[in-house]
Amino acid sequence: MAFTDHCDVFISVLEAGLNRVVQHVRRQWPSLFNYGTAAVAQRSELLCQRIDYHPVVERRNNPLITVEPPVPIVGSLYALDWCAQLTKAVVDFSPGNVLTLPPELGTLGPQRFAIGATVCGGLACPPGELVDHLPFNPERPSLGPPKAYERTAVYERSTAYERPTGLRPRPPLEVLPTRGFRCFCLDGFVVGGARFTGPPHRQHVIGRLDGIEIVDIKPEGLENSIECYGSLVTRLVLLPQLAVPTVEFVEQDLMGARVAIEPSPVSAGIAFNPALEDDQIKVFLDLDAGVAPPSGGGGGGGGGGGPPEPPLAPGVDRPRVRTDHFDLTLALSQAAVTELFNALRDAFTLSASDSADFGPFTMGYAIGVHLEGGTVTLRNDGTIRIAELDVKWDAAKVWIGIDLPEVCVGGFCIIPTPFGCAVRAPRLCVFDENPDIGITIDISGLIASELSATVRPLMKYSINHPVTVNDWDARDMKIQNRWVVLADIVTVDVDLFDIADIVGDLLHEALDDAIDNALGFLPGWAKSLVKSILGPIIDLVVAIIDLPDDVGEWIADKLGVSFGVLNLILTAVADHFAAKKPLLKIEEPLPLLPSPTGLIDVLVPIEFLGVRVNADELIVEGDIGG
Amino acid sequence: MPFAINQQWLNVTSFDSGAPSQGAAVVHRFGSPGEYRVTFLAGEASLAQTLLAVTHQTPSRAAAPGHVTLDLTEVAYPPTLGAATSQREHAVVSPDGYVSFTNSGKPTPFAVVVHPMGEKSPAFDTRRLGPGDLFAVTLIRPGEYRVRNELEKAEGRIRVAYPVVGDRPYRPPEPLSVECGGQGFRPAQIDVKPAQGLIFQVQTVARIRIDLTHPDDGPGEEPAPRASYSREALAAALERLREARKKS
Repeated sequence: MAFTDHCDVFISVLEAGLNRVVQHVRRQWPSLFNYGTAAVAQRSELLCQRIDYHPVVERRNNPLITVEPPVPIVGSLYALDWCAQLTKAVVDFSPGNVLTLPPELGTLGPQRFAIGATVCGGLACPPGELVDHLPFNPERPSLGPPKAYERTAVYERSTAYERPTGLRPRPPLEVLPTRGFRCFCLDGFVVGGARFTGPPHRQHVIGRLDGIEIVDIKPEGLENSIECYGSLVTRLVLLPQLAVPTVEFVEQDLMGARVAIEPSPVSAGIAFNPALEDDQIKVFLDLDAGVAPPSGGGGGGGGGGGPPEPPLAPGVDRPRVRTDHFDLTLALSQAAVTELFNALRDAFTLSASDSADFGPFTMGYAIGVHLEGGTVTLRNDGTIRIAELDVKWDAAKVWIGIDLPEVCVGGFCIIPTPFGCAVRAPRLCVFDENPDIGITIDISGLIASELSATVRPLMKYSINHPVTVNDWDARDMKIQNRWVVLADIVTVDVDLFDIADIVGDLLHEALDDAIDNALGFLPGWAKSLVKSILGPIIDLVVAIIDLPDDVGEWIADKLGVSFGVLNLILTAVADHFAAKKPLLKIEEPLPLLPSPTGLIDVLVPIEFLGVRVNADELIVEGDIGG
Repeated sequence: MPFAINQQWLNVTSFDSGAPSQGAAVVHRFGSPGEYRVTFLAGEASLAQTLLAVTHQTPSRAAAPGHVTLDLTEVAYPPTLGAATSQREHAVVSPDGYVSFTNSGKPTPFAVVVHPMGEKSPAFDTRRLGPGDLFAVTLIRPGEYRVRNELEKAEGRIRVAYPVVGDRPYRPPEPLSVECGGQGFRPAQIDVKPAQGLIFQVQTVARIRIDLTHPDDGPGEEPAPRASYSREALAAALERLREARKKS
């Protein structure tokens, strides 16, 4: 059974891969997982759990902790430091086999996900001897100078929660010093499902919370309160953050094609969409591709201004190192590939012109082509067959400039001798110089070209920066490494120049017209004399340019071989569909989440990507790096 | 390169051995060695002069050439004015050799008179050719010409055929020789192909003039066809014929 039996595009993410992504987010955005007071931010060793973070976080001065106000001691002007850390978060898709859910949540049902999280926190309780010496006058706390190991901080209360107006404002809180935190950890679990939400063309995959359980909290009222708080955090913060950014998207720069993707409707073939099963989240999508409208900026550089990207380094093979299931699977159906192919084909245009001197004559051309028709077939041998792709000639003009021989009379011998001619009569030449005639033949309606090719998609890894440059700096310099999908052209069958025989007649007429035009101002007798001396013009041209009987074949040969138009078109088509220009470029590591203010982007390493083809679909599979 | 036509040859319809130009030339053999002054005259005015040495050897002791052409264009116009070479230097020719006089430039009426150095009576005058002189001409314009020896009152006719665009490039036949003697021209009725050369062999005193009398402008435009058919009309006619046969 193919992935895309009932859709155009299939995407799945394995829970193990998703958990690796969560780890990357935790390491790259530690401040979203660790909260505490300013004192904690300055002394991270006070935290209940050491923070495991990516070195670039520190290098880019990103915070490890989100600083929050201290906890006030009610009725006093004292406050306590505190910290809270999400130290573990694991996702489990049906069937449940990663997490052991508490009895209150039962076993993980079908089409469900579970998230298990561990939150550690603590209060900075001051030493008893210090508390004994605290003054009781809440208005004038005086602790004396802090000892060397102690730190204090003074906080202004939030104005949003200030006392009612008319009352005397409180003086700032004084944080009691501490030697350490009294920490605790709580395990919590949520279960839920997933669905598409949002208006048409803007749909998101979003989680749905079905249950929450905090383990080992008594009494029940406290547990319920904490679960209520956890539920709110999950619904209002966590699940929206985990929403797939947008399923429908428009990619303007897929080689000039516009691609729109929408969720496939639930049907007999697709019971759930998205589906949470087989330890994966699966999404079934339909694809619509077309030619992108011309953009104002021109060229479509893939988003964003700035300097152009430097050329990609040649890709190399990067073999897979794991043997288990792929973390990511993307499959495109035959129909989707056909639709993409049609869009790419329609986006192709080429115009070119050139001229060359062939000695006795000069020749040039101006062409404009686009592509039409053609079929694309996915095959079980791992190749894609493109057949009967018509090269349509919007313009195809060939011009030929010919040096006519000098037409002279007179010069006959007046006094012949046994050794030759003693005296000759003066010569009269018709033309002042060696004359040229130029003819232009429009063969756009007479030329038919067809292209068939077999290509094999290849995934290569393009290394564009040394390992000494970190991935974030590389992105800033636009020299990030990339996975690139190329098309290896296995065979090409070209019949680029099938020129109708009538082109010979056209050439003849054009030559006659050219001579008539050139001699047009001459009286009839002079024109006849010149033409009689030149002889039948086509014979003359045949003699001058060594024209064979098959004029069409001669023009085809000149265009195809001498001017290399054949190679030009082939190269342009190949570049358009693949070859130097990758079908697809995927940044590695992949920018997953846009950076909130002041934080780095979350980059997720793609350890492996592979592409394969069978008769049903084109499949891209990958692993998320650890 | 420009497709420029040399227009001069189109409009020449008269030729005069007294002023050989536009494809015509007069050929004379001096015979006895000596130095000569060659004068090109327009009426009685001198257009240009040059020197001719008839000798066995050139100043560099090389054998003198058997032929020299004195072209008014080259004599009258120094190289700075466009002539290929200046002939203000001595022209040299062997006593057995021939000197041809012509004008490849504009058809300025001129005569050539050649005097031995220091003598007043000319040794040669194109206005009065003598026995042994030759007058060569190329007639291009189709039509009928009258040819006359103005000094002997002899006359003849020349007919230049209209050119035909054939299956092969046309090349004018070998030149035709015409005797110009005391009894007139032989043959008196001359038929030539277009651009075929004519060589008048002068056997008496002569000044030969050729003038176009009846130009031949050829067959003109092809007559309009009396009937025409198109592929569609032919197909329709055949269809009608088939239908008629079926009915019969």
